[in-house]
Order: sequence, then C-alpha cells, then structure tokens
Amino acid sequence: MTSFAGFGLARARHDVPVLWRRDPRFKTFRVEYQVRRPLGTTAAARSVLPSLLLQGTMRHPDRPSIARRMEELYGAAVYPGSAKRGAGHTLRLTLDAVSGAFLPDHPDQLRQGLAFLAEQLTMPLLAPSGDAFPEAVFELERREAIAALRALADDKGTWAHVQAMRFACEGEVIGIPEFGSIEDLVAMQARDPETARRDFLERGRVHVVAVGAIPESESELVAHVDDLLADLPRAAGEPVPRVGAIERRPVRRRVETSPGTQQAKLVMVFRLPEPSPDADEAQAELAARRMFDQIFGGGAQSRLFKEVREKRSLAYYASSTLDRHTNLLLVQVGCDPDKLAAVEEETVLQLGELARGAFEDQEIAVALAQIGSRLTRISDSLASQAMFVGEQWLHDDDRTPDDLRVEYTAVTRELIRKVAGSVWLDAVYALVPEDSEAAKDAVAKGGAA
Amino acid sequence: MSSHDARFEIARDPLLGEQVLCATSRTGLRVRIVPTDRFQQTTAIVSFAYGSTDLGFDDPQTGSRHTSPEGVAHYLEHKLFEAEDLHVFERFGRRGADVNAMTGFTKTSYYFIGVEQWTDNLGDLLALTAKPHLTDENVEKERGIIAQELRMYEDNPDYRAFFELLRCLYAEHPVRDPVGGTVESIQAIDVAELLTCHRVFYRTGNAALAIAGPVDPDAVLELADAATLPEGDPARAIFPEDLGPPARDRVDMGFPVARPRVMVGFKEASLLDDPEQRAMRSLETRVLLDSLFGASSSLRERLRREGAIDDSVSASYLGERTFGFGVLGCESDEPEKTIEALRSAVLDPDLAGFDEEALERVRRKMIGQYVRQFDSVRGMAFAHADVALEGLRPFGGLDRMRRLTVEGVRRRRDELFGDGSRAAVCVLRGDR
Repeated sequence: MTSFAGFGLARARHDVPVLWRRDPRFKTFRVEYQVRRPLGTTAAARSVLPSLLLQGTMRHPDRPSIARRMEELYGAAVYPGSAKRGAGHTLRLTLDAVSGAFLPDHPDQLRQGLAFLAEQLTMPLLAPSGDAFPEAVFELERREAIAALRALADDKGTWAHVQAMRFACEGEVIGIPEFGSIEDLVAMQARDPETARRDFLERGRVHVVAVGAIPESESELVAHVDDLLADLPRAAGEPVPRVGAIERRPVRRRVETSPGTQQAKLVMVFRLPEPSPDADEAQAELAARRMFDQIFGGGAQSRLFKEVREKRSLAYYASSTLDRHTNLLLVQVGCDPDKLAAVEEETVLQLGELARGAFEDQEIAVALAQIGSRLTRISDSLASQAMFVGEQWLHDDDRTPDDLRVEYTAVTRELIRKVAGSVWLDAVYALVPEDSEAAKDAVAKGGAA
Repeated sequence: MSSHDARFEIARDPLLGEQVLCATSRTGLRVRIVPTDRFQQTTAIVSFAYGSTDLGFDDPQTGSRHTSPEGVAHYLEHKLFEAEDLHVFERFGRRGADVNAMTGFTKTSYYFIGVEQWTDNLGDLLALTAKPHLTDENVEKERGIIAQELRMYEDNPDYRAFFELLRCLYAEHPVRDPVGGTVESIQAIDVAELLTCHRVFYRTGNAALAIAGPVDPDAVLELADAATLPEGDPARAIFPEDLGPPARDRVDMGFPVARPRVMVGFKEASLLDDPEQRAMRSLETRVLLDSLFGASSSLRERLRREGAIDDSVSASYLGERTFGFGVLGCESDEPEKTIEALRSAVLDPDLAGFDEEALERVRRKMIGQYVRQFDSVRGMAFAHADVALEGLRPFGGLDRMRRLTVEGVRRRRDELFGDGSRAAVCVLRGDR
C-alpha cells in the first residue's frame, strides 16, 4: 500500500509508517510522532511525562533554554503531549513550524525542528542513574500536576464531564481518568515517568504524520524521519484492544453538589452497540451514527439546541458528542437547577422522536450540509488534516474526506432512525448547587427515562 | 487586478507579497478582501466599534443624554440572530455554514465560516446586522437564556476575579462592568432600549467588513454596496475620565474554589488616541510581559522553582482608546507569596535579562507568527477586520516589529508598572 486516506504511505526506519502529504498551499508544516499503548494504571505517570520532557534535554538543560530554542526556530512549536483515546493512551510529539522557504535566509526548518524533536524524545534530562528524572525536577512537575488536577474542579463543565465518565464507566478501562488520580500522583516515583517513556518507545505502536510545506520527494522526507528515529529502539508495536460493548442495564444516577455555584451541569451518558464486525457495514453504520448525532445534538441546528435552548429556554447550552473510540454518546447541558428534570425529559423525548422516525427531510439535509462542510474544511488546516489521518489510521479506515462525503449522502432516514433506536441511556450525572434540594431529588429519582 | 472595481486599493505585505484589497462601500462601510484560491472555505466578519463599555451617549434623534443598562451590547448581539421567518442558525446551517458572534469591551463582531454559497452567506450576514427583529416576547425569552449564560460565567472564579479586579482599578469607567452585564442589570433591557442602541451604533461608519477565501472581490463590494445597514457615523460614546489611582488596591473574596488564585492589575496612567501609537504600545507591552512571564523567562522559572508561582501563571494586556490595563494571574496555595512575587517580578531591574539577543529571538518568533497568519482563512479575515476597524494600515505589524527596541520595552515597563496604579484580588476558599 502506498497511500492511505488521501495521504502517501511510506515506511521509515524500523518499518515505522509515515503518512505524508505535501500541501504547497501552506507556508507551514506539521510533523507528528505518535506512539500508543493500552490505557492502564500508569495513566498518571504517562500524563506527567510530556511536562517532564519539556524541562530539559542533554543539550538544552532547562525549560527556558528549550523555549529559547523554539524562538530561534522562528517560533516553532516543538512539544510533547499525551491523550486518552478509547482504550489507548497516546504520547505525541509535534513539530509545527514555518517553512524556511518563507523566512529570511531560508533556514532548514524541517531538519532543525526534527532534530530538536528527537532531542526531546530521546535525550531527556535524567538523573545520573539514568533511569529516573532528577528528583527536584520530578517533584516540581508532580506538584504542578497535582495542582492542575485540583484546579479541574473549578471548571465546572470539565469537572462534570470527568466525574460523569468516572461514574458511568466505573470498572471499565475507558473509565480510567486520563491524568490518573491525585493519589496516583502522590504515590508516583521519579523513575515511573521514565519507565513510561521507555515503555512507549519499546512496546508501543508508532506512526508518523507529516503534512504541509514538506519536501516534494518522498525519499527526502523519509530520510528526515529516519534521522528522527535514529536513536529510538524498534518498537514492538503491541496492539491496543478495541473497546467492547457492555450489556444493557438500568439507568444509574448520581448527583453531586458544587457549593456556591448557580448553574447546574447535566451529563447524560448514552451507549451505542458495538459496530458490526463487517468493515463495510461498520463504515455505513458510522456514517449513520454521525448523521444521527448531528441531528440530535450536533450544533445550533440540532434538536437539543432548538428544543431545549431556543424553544423552551431550559438551558444555555445543550449538545451531544459521539465518541467513535468508545461508542459513547454524551449529552452535556448547563442550566438552572430547577430545570434539570425538564431538560432530561426533553432530551429523552427528542431521542424518542428520532427513534420513531419523527424528523424532517430538512433536518437530514442540514446535517448532511454541516458534516460535508466540516469534511471539506479539513483540508484548510494542517492540524485538522493530521488529526483526520491519524484517527483514520488508528481505526484502519482508508477513506478520505471525499469518500466519507459520498458515504454520508447514502445514509437513509431509516438508518438514522435505527441508530436512534439503538441508543440507550446508561447513566445520568448532575453537578448541582448545594441548596438545590428539589433538583437533586428530581435527578436522583429520574423517571424521564 | 485592473479589472476590479476602481475603488479598490491594493495593500501588499512586504515580506511575502500577500495582498489585501481595501475599499469603502457606497454607504461608507470599510471593506477588506483577501481573495485566495488556496483554501476552500470562506470566512467573513463584520465588526462594529460598539461594545459593553459604550453605555453613555448623546442620542442624535432626541438630543438628550442616554445611559444604557450594563449588558445591552451583548443582549443586542444575541437578539440579532432572531429573524422574521427562518432562524438565522437554520438559514446558514442549510448551506453548511457556521455563524456566530462575540461581544467585547469595545467591539461586537458577527462572522460565518462556510465552503459553499458564500454570496448568500455574506448577504445574510450583512442583513442580520442591519435590521433587528424584536418583539416583547422574543426579547423576554432571550432574557432567560442570557441570565443562564451569566450565571455560568459567575460560577467561574477567574471571571469573578477578573471583574472584581477591574472594579478595583476603575471607579467609574464602564470597563468595570461585566461584558454581559448582570442578571439584575439585564432586567432593564427592553425592545426600545435595544432599538435605540442599534440605531445609534450599527452604522456603516462604525463598522468594518473583512472576508477571506475563494471570493470574487467585485461581488463582495456589490453586496457591501447593497447592504441596508444605516449610513453614517455613530454617536460618540461618553466616558468618564478614570485615569487616577485605583478605586481600591486590594480585595479578598471568598469563593468555593478548589485552588485559590490571585490577580494583580496595572492601570494605564495615560491614554493614546492615535491607533498606530496604541498598536505600538500594545506590541511593546506584549513583549514586556512575555519577557517576564513567557516560557523562555529565567525569572519565571526561578519563581516557579521557589514555589511562588506555577504554570497557571498568565499575563495579558488590553490597551484601548479610553482605558488600558495589564493583568497577571496565577493559582496559588500561598496567595500572599504569589502576589508579592508578581509585584516584585514586574520591577525586576534586569527585566528578566531582556537584551538585544533576547529581542532578536522575539523578532524571529514574531516573524514566524506573522507568516503563520497566512495559513488561516479565519485568522486573515479576523485580523484585517480589526485593523480596518481601528483605522490602521494593513500589514503594519511587520514594521512595528522592526521598530521594537530594548529601550522601548524598558520604558513600557516603567510606564505601566512604575507609578503604583495597581490593585490585587485574592480569591480565597470560602463562601461566595
């Protein structure tokens, strides 16, 4: 295979796949090195790893000197990050820079940027023992991570989402919080993040994405990526398991209080069945699911926005999000506490309407126009292009945005109705002001479902 | 380019030769167009120099002084999405376009992003700002939605701290009021109030339109010519002079936070009327704050290692015609230590080692940022709208960047931080 999802597909050192697309419309380029491992109990160590990698390298011994190097590279962003996706945890190092062709004296930004990225990945500043980050550096970053985790509770929308996922997916792999817990961070040792780094590099599944103003020749690009990978071990490429479906069960409910707040947050966690094992069927199903999500709560033209916010003024925001990795559909709402029960009722009612096919052709047309526009716009941003092809790669899904657009036009009313009928409410989580006894009661008892 | 309407002037960027077409519609609307086939999407934005601080004005129709309730600009922004027949979101949605708006202290902007039927989208964007469709009923309905939005903001400790800080810095200037007003203040807003503000401020002489994407410049100008936005200049808003010492220099507020936080604010003692001078001042201040609190600052790193600040530290500046302030913020378990560290840091005699070498690095970084803007349709449209609304030259940023000096940045430090016009807010764990 020499192409994938509209990108070229080459193989670099250690047989690492390189998904590349030269796009001369851009003056910048983006290279991402991604490695993925199954989500597990080391989530805290993995999530603190990126900030530790930014604290220094053998050549740039502290954070200011790393930042200054980025300034010298005309403000290139060379940074590590970690993210939870489905049952996987990804370490990603990104180089996002202006091409030298558009800069004074035409510096070789790609070569210098990749060298700096490799330096962060392979030459972190470690303690003399070589198997742990320096104690002082580790302690500082651990303190930062604990502080950031504590501060999450001050962003009520995010906090409600985190708590809802924790509650709804308790006991499942996907219920492990991306950043671990404060207890995990407290118990962590200086060698744990370094162990996590080595585990990523030695056992993970790697791919590289390069897009934008990159060399015209594939071999030239691969030579650059080979340099990036030169000091890395051959990764074992262990697979990340897919998220399985769970048995349907009665709706579970949890209400937590948030002292001193005025607005309540509601998160309704819906589940969808596991996709069909047949690849073609699964693809058609995914298109129908996304169309359903768009109609149900995908934007300002959706049922939730129009019915919950605009017509009934029940909430300031109400939207749904479908996660392809987990087969979860989350409805998130911010509203007055005394409207929680009505919001839940209206949400379930709208889902029921869609399940019995009570929706207009116009709604399908709008959803199609919205999704089509979004797919077209992917090509206008390097970050979106990289994200798109990265996601397709993780799902072994070779379709391009154009392929998908065609597929969406084939989604029928009946398929959307079937998806709506297959969605089931698994858990309801509400974060309510302390003095909202009636609201607490209403959510705890439920009844709308 | 000669085939285009003779009203166009072409401005070229000196580094890459990129261009923007500048014109004024027959009705007086400033228009900026970046026609480019590089991208598939089109973004258009129409901005009005009317924001939350424009509360007092002499109404040209009645000749009398008018004072609006706080939050009226934001309320009006919400209501302009109401249409007589088809809801605005629906109208754009059918074409796959996203439409939205935002209100700030001095500006309200409406924009769309779409890939098809840009002429229909642009026509609708201009139409929605030209004529409000207000009824007692739909204004009343919106009050509930806005109240929920405001309560959401009020649950955010950073939002609360920020506006508490502005209330400390300013005794009278309406920048001290939240952009959306309060649940109480919006009770006084009705159809008549909204129509008055629309009539006074939504005028071609107070607006700018910018569009970027695969568009035909002549067609853009035709649509701008045909727009029914009322012609003429707005009433000049009246602001109290509020340049003296802060109203209060310290407030400790209780809030149910997981982490306490502090904000320290610095108020400009002098204002600049000339937009170019103001833009230069903003740039120097950005560089100043970045040199002190950016990732490459050794001072920031030292304070972090000492536990006085952490990575939540932030530094920002806003310099407008009638007010200007800088804000430093940080979460902290030892608020007094953090406030002291921030206050001392801004007076660092060494300016965190900012010298010619550091300035050269900053210039490089800025050149990178400058080139990057051409890779974003939205970025280009938004930037040109701001420049046009301010009355600045297109692509003037590069020249400003070249004029930066270490001395200028040091002078900025003395101006902003030197005279003691500062205040601090501390959000402590406690009841609201």
